[in-house]
Amino acid sequence: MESNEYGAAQALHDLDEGRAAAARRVVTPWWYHPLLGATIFVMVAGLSRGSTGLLVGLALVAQGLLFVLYRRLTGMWVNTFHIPGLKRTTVLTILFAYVLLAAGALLEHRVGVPYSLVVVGAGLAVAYVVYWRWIEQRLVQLWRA
Amino acid sequence: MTEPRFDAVVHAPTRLQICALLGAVDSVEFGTVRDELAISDSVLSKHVRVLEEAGYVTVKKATVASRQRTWLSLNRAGRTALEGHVLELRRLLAATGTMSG
Repeated sequence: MESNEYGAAQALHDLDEGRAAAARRVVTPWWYHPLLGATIFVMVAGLSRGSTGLLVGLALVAQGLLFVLYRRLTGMWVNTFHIPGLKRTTVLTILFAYVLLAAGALLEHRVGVPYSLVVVGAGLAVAYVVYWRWIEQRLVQLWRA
Repeated sequence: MTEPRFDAVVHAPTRLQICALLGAVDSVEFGTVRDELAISDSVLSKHVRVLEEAGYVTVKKATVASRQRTWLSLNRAGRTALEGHVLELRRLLAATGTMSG
């Protein structure tokens, strides 16, 4: 029974260590999310009237490269859909972003309000940076708990 | 709902640490796991093979900029096994705590 007790306690400690290792790696350098936010701005603003598809294409390529860089920097890949406690927040955030995008497109292309998508793009970029800063802090809290 | 279940494959200390790291995220690069656990490539390969044969870990190789990188992830069966094992460890610990205290 003594060895079981030691084994279980040590094993649970090792599990905590594994999660703490993930927490140490999940935080990206300060410039990573602002850069990704900038690509979101360029992509959404690129849907604005008068813009060419080239901007959207360039933003998508830049995003792809930044995702590769993320894997290089952290050595791992995190999908917040799969993290218990963050799935609902992730779904709601994505829904909110799509609603905002649809509203911007409607205002600009149907109602005729100029630069609506530029404003929405800027809002989404800032929201993305703030959201991911929060997600990283939340993940660190979850994995160090 | 996962039932508490002792899993001998997961319980080995190094494999438990591998599972703990993989279980927190979607996938982890082979070199990252090796560095975090401070073990050699061959030791990690051996344990990954055991976990792969048990059907708990999925191994994917990807070539980026002409360098091949290996990515490890704990699949659904692995996550279930880890969850059940953690529940069993907690149950054991609680039981021994109750007996001694």
